[in-house]
Amino acid sequence: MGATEHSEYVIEVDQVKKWYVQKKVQKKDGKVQRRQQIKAVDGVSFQLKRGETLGVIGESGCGKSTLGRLLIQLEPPTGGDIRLFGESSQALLKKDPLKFRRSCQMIFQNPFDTFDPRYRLKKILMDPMKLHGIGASEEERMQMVLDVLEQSGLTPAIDYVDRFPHELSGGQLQRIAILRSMLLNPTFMVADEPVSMLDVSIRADIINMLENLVKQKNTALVFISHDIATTRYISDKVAVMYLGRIVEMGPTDEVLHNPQHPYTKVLISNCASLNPLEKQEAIAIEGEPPTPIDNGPGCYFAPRCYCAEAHCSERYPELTDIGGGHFVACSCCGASGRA
Amino acid sequence: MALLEIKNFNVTYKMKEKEVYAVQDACLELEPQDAIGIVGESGSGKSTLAMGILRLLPRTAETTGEALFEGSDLMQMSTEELSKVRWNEIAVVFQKSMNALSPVHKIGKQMEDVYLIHKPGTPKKAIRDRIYELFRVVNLSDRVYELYPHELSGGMMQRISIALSLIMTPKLLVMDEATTALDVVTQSQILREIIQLQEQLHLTRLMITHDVSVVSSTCNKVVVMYAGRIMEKGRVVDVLVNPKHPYTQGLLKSFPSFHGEKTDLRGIPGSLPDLSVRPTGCVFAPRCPYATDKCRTQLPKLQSAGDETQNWQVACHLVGGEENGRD
Repeated sequence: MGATEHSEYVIEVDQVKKWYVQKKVQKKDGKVQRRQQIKAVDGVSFQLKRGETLGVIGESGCGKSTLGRLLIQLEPPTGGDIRLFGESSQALLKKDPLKFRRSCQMIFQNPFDTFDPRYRLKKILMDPMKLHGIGASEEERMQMVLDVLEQSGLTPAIDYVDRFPHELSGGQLQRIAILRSMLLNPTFMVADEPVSMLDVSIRADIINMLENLVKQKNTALVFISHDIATTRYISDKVAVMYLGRIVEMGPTDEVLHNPQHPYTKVLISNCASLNPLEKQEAIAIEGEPPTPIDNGPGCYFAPRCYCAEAHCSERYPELTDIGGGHFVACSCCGASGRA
Repeated sequence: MALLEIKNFNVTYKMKEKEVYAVQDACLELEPQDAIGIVGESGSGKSTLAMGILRLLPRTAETTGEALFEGSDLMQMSTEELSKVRWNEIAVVFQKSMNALSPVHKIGKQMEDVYLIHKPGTPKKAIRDRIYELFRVVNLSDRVYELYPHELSGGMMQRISIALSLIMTPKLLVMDEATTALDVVTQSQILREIIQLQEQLHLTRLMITHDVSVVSSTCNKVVVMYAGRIMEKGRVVDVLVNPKHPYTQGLLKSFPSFHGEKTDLRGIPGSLPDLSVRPTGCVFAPRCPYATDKCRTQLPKLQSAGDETQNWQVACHLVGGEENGRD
């Protein structure tokens, strides 16, 4: 692994931005406003080592899916830099698209739309390997496919390879999607809400399988989800996003059990517990997440925040380390230190 | 007297080659001001049961059994009688309410229409006041009246459909995955509002969801369904704390918990059985870790577990078997 020596991190994300431009807006009063910028992702930075898993949580519309698409260059970023082993991912993509695509894989939310309905599973699984030159012959590739299917509990594997996607359940399809990515031995993977379409009773198995594979192959994973409890199981680190920015990031249990940012506190308190006896008081906040257009100079969360102070709406607080790699972007709780 | 009593309710979807037994032998009682949650995986027949009671199923579905609403059988009612009950007495909130609203009419206009169908000839002013009142109940501002559905967020539209379901002050509110499509924060906002509404308006509520945490935080009774059958029912504080049926235990284990150890996350192996085949024994036996020969050959009936006051029933030989042995 020559590449690993260049940098200790698999992926380094530095102030990456994605601003969408809305060209023309007809306002209510008849005025036409031109060129509004929607800041879907607005300056996100983090680093991931090999075998590490980062969970990204937040409400819908906070830019977590856009971030996932930026990371594997499905969309070019408006600003900032994404580096893989110290090299800019845009340059890598330009230099050798095939190699880049092989090293960065993505698992999508809806397993029913992921596959071509007219291909059998063996074609679905073997085509990417053929394309990337894995395995010397058809037979060898077939054997690899059968092996991974057996390992992931789709037994007998030989029965599965001749099936069409519609013959499998959602959980089985999502397994196939994960396996297909994993067969290419990617160094970095993005999973965008991989279990939210699946039934609760099979979610656990998919999460376990993904976690095992990632650990086994030492892949860096970004796990995007709005389900905090699920994210807790798979992640080493957690980043909480609000309106395109990371408001809190740190080791999973540290962030989730000792949240500092008011928004993280709100999110966590609103997660209903399974046990009806342990009632916890949910922190109520007003309104819905606003569209990320023309956010004020202050903290983006200030208008909905229950403990906002006057200085919150003056400038955006910096992401500061409050100890143990736990970063918080809040001007109120940063001062008070750790509770 | 129970507000709604369902007795031996069966729903069968008839198709050309086969019949699918979607709901079998469901029995359920709703006391006034109860909040009952029906949980289960997708395909377990929870929505079919609720829609069957309301007679909203397509013609291919054949229903047998009784659903007594305040003593009169909903299944035997004529179309005219039924339309008097619907919305006036029983209202439904569906999962994708955004799809239920017309995109080319203003919200206010759509709500007026519903009101006029049930109370024709009401003066416009009175309707408008009633709608504004409902907006306040579900925390919406009055300006929503003049807006089109595309101008609202998902949470606001879900509030509209809840307001719409309350327009005739029904006694029973059926919520079919009403908060599933929403965000965590919005979901808990709406759930809190619903609990308040229930106290204010003395509603009886039937919640259908696959999210057990929603039931545990908003309901007082729970019904666990699997493959068209009721596996366990009882009070939330009993069933969700000390589940007796192996399926309920498995279902609760497969939810990642927020506290405690991370290692104990397990799914239930296998998948739902083919509902077009009538099983000989317990429907859960093929996936059950404790299944015995008796489970595979004899169908367990709902038997009471716990003492009289708990009204806790479990359909499992292993739970009932212990008690039978003692007798």
